Amino acid sequence: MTAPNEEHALVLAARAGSQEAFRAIVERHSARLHEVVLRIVRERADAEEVVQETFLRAWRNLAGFQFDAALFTWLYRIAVNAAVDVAKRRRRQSAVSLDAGDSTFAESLPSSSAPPAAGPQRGEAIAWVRAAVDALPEPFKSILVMREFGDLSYDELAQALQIPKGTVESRLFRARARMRDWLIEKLGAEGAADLLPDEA
Amino acid sequence: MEHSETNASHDDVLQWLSRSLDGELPEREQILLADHIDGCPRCARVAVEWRSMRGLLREEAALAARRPPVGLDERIMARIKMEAAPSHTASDRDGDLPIAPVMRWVRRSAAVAAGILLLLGVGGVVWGPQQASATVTPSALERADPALRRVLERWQKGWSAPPSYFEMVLSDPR
Repeated sequence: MTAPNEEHALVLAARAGSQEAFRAIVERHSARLHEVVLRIVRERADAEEVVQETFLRAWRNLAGFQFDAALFTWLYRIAVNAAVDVAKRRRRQSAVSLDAGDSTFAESLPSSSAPPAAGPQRGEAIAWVRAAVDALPEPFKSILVMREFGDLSYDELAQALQIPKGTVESRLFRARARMRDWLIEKLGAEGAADLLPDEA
Repeated sequence: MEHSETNASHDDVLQWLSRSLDGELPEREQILLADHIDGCPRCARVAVEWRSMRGLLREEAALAARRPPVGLDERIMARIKMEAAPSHTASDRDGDLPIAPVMRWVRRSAAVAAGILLLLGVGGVVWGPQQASATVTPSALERADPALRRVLERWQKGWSAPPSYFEMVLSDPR
């Protein structure tokens, strides 16, 4: 993470027109943003377009950036709003309900996408949990993804989403409860218990 | 159902559990959470499954290791360069907006109006109560915007345009 003073200086320089300063901002945040956006939109081409558009909007609107929040939470706000819009549009286009789940799940099965290091059973469990994330409706999906894959704290999530911290807490709680309910619905209580063993 | 010692409902406890997973639960509630889970098989089961879900997501995130597409930063900067290029003027950016045609017309009208005033000044214009006559130098006419040139050429021939004519000329590509 960039030190606040350094980031402040980079923003000021970029505002003054320094593309080098803006490049430094891009290099610091693009990978993390891409990771989160990809989890929301699922398609790599869409994720790249959203991330590119995010930085383009940031460049155009740097003058409006207030230093009362961290730069990356501002970037997240732009990126996640755009990603959610793209995901909604894609969902409308494909007319596939996330609640139907099976097609989304089939795409995420571990045969090709699971990390080999995880092993077959672990890979299947990861794929089920990923499908449970996909099945979450907004606003639960984006906040859970930002928390788990972007590693944002509750304060940062509140800043990025412009919601009270209490709302962050309740949305994350509900997201986890919904994921577990979805897995139980798909696998049965015993199946979910087998998939999610005690990791202590 | 409420826990007898803390008066916390299962939902309260699971909110604590969620915050605990995120490292956002204060120590006091952490103790109460552990106390409740020790005595409540239902919440204990949820705790096991949520921790497992969290572990699986974290594992996936770690293995994915934030690998953005190769060249992503360069492609972003290429768009920034294009955006910042001098030739990329405000009128290009207005292309994203539904008001773009209006803005183009306004800018063009302003340019035409400014051009007319300039040329009138240069040419020494005398306005009479009934008619206008103007002298425009050939070099100034050559430099003028094509739409403005059409107006001025006709004007030089002694033609007097109604106000709506300027609008018509600007929207007419001929």
